[in-house]
Amino acid sequence: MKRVLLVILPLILFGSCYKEAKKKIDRIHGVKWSGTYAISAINADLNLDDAVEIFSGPANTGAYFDKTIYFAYEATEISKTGSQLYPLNDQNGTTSAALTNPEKATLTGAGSVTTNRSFVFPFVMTGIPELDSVYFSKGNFSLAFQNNYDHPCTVTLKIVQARRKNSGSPDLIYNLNVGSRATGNINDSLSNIILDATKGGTGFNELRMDLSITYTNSGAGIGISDNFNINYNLNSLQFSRIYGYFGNLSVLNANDSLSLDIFDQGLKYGTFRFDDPKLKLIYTHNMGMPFQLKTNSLSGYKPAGTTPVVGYPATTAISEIPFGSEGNFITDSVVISHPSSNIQTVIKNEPTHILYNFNVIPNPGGPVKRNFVLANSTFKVKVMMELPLNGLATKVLLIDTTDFDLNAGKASEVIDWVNFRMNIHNEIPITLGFQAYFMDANSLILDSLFEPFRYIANSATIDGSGNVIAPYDEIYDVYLEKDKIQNIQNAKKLMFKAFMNTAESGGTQVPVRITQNQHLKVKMGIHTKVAVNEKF
Amino acid sequence: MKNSKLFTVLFFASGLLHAQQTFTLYPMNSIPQSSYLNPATRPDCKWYFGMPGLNSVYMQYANSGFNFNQFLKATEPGNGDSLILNVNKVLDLMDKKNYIALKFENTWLTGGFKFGNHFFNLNVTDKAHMRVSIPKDLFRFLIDGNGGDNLGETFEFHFKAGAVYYREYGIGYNYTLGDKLTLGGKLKYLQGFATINTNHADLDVTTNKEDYSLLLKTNLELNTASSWGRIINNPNEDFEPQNFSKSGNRGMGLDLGASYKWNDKIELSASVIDLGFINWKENTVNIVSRNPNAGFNFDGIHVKSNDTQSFDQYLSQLKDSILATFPLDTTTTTFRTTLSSEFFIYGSYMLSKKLTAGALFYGDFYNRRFYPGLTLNVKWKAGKALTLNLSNSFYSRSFFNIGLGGSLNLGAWQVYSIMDNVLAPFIPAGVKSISWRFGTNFTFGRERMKPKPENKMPVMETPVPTTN
Repeated sequence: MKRVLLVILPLILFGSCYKEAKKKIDRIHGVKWSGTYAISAINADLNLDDAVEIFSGPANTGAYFDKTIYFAYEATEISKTGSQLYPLNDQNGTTSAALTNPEKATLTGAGSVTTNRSFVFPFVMTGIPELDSVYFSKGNFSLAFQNNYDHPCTVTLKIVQARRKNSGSPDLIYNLNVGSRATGNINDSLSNIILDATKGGTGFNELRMDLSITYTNSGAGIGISDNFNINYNLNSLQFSRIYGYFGNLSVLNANDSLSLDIFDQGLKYGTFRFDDPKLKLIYTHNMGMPFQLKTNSLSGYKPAGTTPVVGYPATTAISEIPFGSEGNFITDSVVISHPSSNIQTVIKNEPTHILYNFNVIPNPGGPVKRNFVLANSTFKVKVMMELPLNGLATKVLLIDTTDFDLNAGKASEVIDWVNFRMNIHNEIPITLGFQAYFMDANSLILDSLFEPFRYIANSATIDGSGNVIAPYDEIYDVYLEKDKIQNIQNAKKLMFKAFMNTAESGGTQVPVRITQNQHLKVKMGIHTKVAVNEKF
Repeated sequence: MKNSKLFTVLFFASGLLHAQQTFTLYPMNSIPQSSYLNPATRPDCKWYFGMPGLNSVYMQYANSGFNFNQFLKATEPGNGDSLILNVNKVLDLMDKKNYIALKFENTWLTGGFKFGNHFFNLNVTDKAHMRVSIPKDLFRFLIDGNGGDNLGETFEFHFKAGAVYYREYGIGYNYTLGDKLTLGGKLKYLQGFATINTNHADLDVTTNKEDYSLLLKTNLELNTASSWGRIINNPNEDFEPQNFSKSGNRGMGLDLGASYKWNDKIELSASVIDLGFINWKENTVNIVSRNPNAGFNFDGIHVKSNDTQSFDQYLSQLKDSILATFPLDTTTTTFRTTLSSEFFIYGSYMLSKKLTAGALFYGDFYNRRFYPGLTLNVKWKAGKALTLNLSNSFYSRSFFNIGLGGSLNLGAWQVYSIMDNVLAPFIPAGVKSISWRFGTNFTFGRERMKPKPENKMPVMETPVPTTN
């Protein structure tokens, strides 16, 4: 019996343990868990290329050789190609080649006669006073002979000094038979035809044709009004290159404005002072003729008034691309800067726009040089305002409001607190601040990010000349308690303020220079406690 | 319903096991296989042989963590009668290193005989052992986190995994000196078929107190080998488990044991088994950290001025940096693994001719830790045919592990079954391990139990006086 009990008792004991365990599990109606986690989240190494983007709006940023950063506002580039500047006109002409009386006599007497004629037609192009030669890339050539004699003929047409590319023949030659009182036609493509319009280097704008007609007596008579008419047509012409003298009609006229967002959209409070602004007219071309950039007027505009720019060059000579260098470009610019102009004063007035009016004229010296352009030769010009970060920014403040929805859902409920540990190393002589206000749908402020407000990064230390002599280093915590997290979760709008102020020396702002070598290094670590206390 | 699911999940997730042998088998010399645990053990028959392929089948699952009942300690009172599960308290139930072990062994051939004071036996056994060690720090990192008081602390994710499949050819011998002392040993020739073994699979994570950057250090040393082709880095070769007998991975093993009969009632014994090694030569692949002490500091997502790369490109670059910091060398050199050695110390006291009580102290070393166990048993030898052994084992903070073993002889034919944690199938909530060994043998020349002297009335030599 004892042995039986020895076996059964443990079974009963463990059976009851199992039941007890199951019973306890059934009593579990909640889970509790808390954990604290930390991770280094962001390690940013920035310079003002990035940090000031919100102030500069759509401007590009760049840097000079000495690494000074600038904002660059650009107007839309104006560009023209050779084919846009010099479109080829259609060419048409009519003439006749009637037999002279001796030729008529020969035809009647000898049974045949040959008559030779030369014609010179004008090749006229709008805007090009003197056309030397054309390399056609496209075009159609058609010519009709109308034989009004009762005698058939054989015609040989030579277009003088017009040749096919890579052809040994110096002229284009066509032969055809034309019946009595009949019409004969010649149709050809001008693609890859090179036309020399100079009459062997002595003229221009000439389209020359030589005609040789041999009549055979048909036995019929010759009427007094019988004739031989010639009609030609060159249409849909496009060139790959043209040579000549292209005159001095303006090829490009610009009368527009350049928007400076920093004074228009971006800046609401505070002031910028740019000590060395530069207004640039930048041109690029690869055409075989000299130009003149003629600046008619420049001014700074804002609704309160316009400030004319003075002290800029009225004209600027632009040299041509030499023959054989068509693939190269000439790029240069007209720079209007301080102190040769009053541009510093103009910018100091914080214009929202720069108004400009200029045009480009070819051959300013007259027909002293022969010109050429390719169909795809271009002339481009753009207006750019460069604002080097060399000066002052005083209490610059940007304010904006945007819709906001954290949409963190359940996640925000389990976060007990979050601490952002900021590790700041600032080599830039600018103090940067940021504040975010979380608002409900009625724009009522629920909470703010920094309480009390503090700068994200104080400026680096500068000397009396504005040179950085020591970076600013600080480690601080931004602690968000559960209530604040909840307020952020409930927010529907976000208003943020961004603040910027250049450094002071001895309590006074002195002009500073912002360079690419100056860095703002921000390391942000996140430390958070997650706590779950869920009942079910 | 929720609770039922929770119950089920926790039930199977709780508890990590121990790799103990069948404690209950040790004192059962009615079963010849008890000599596997102590080569000085002499079976109670003169000679025997096992049913080929079915004389000793052994299966075990164990973990060293906590069982389900222990898991309930992680609850605390809620409202009224309800309980709240405190996930953080689960960590208190874990060891610093926790492991899961699986074993499967099958003896193809076995037999033995006594000759005077000599006893010889042999066996051919296939053994497949697997053990995975999971660090408590992993759960601590996930549950408690690396922040708060844990800032600056190094979390040691030191995993260890070992799996081996080998065949043991054992020849055992013991000799009885006089009536009291028996000394025994077993020499084993080992033929390794496959192994995956990590000497190191370590990842140390330290969170900087100041900026929360994470310093990562890794150390990997992984060895694999098999007779059938490379287990890893094997894109083209076929992996065909065949040609068992041709394995060139050879090793040696040794069991040593002794038993001493103090007097008619008290007997002491001790053994150490599975001392040995296997040299792995076939299709070896070794993957080793080139710079085991190198560190990678993750100090946040790097953002730089004028950086044009996408976040995906950054992540790819980060991955490349990490891989460059922790380069791995792959070689195909030979290596050696040692067997998982165990020792036993046992003392028994004969309560009666049929009833013996005993205590077994057990231990093994794994992953630089000593895992002890203690088993108390009562063995009842009902006669020549039946032996029962009831035990309770204490190990890995688990105190109720009832074991039951029995052997039944029907003539020469013997069947036996031994299970530690015999109640595990019925109360899995209370156990950390389960093991079962069973088989059938043919035993001959079993010892008869000495007949108990009859309790007769003494003979009266002097006649009883009579009265008139």
